[in-house]
Amino acid sequence: MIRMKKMNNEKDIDKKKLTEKIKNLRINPWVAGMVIGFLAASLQKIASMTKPPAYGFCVACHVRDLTSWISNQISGTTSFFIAPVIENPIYIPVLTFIGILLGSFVASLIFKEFRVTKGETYFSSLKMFLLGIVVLNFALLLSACPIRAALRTAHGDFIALIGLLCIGVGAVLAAYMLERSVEV
Amino acid sequence: MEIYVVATLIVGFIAGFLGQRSRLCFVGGIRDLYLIRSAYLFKGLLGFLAAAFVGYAIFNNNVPFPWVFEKGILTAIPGAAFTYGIAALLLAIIGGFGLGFFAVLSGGCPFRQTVMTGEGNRSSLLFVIGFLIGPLLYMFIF
Repeated sequence: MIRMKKMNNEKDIDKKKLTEKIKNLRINPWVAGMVIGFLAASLQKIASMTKPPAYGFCVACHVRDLTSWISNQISGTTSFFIAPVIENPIYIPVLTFIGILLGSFVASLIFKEFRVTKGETYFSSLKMFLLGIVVLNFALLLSACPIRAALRTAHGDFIALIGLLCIGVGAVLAAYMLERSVEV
Repeated sequence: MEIYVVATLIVGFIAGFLGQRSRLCFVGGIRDLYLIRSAYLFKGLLGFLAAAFVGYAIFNNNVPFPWVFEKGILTAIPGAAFTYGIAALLLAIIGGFGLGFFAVLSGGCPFRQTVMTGEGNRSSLLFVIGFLIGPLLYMFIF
């Protein structure tokens, strides 16, 4: 009897350990980057998106397509630019952005990390909003978010490599300013 | 329903899932490399580059860097306002520099901010709303 109880206890402890292990299950960025990179590189051949090369995965450009599509629907025209991923006129834009939102939402629900943070001050909210607009416009100037810059570099675009290096320079400068705690 | 819509949705879902689990962030990787001398996140960028390189080489009959051999060094992949020569180079320098700088100030690259919105972060949500409105400004200028 005592032995049985002990065994049960051990089983309970094992179960607890297992749930904790699942909760702390993290994927190495190395692996995640490799999987996303290979998927992004092979997506265009699989889904026969021919037109802009290296367009498999990009946050900024795909958000641009989504916004353009919504604006076109509202205004009833075709004046907003959508990247021609297929030969036919496009009725539905690429939905990578919504996929990312759903994926991270589901992952955070499964691993019990979903929690809504508390509201912030009006000033910092406004700052984040403006930063979003500014970052997207710089990304569209380069025609790549950091992910597509890497993708274009892998496709053999020399100018994207320069862009990627400049992203690094800008990031290091901003980190240096943060380190010296210069308020911007 | 076209196949590319479903395919991008699925790839986005996988990427979001992996991004939430690994906290993958390219700009954050460069920032961490400089600020705390940790190459943990930077490995994500290296892995991405390596896998995409291999992927493109496989799907292009084992020829690496297809674009350079086809079009030469000074032609960028279309999408930006200028795609050839010094103008394209200048755009890449300005855009890249601004992107890196402001992304670090906001706390992560666009991909990371989107993932954090999925986790329920309110300030990232505001960033993403700015993100959705941003293209209108860009199209107004050009």
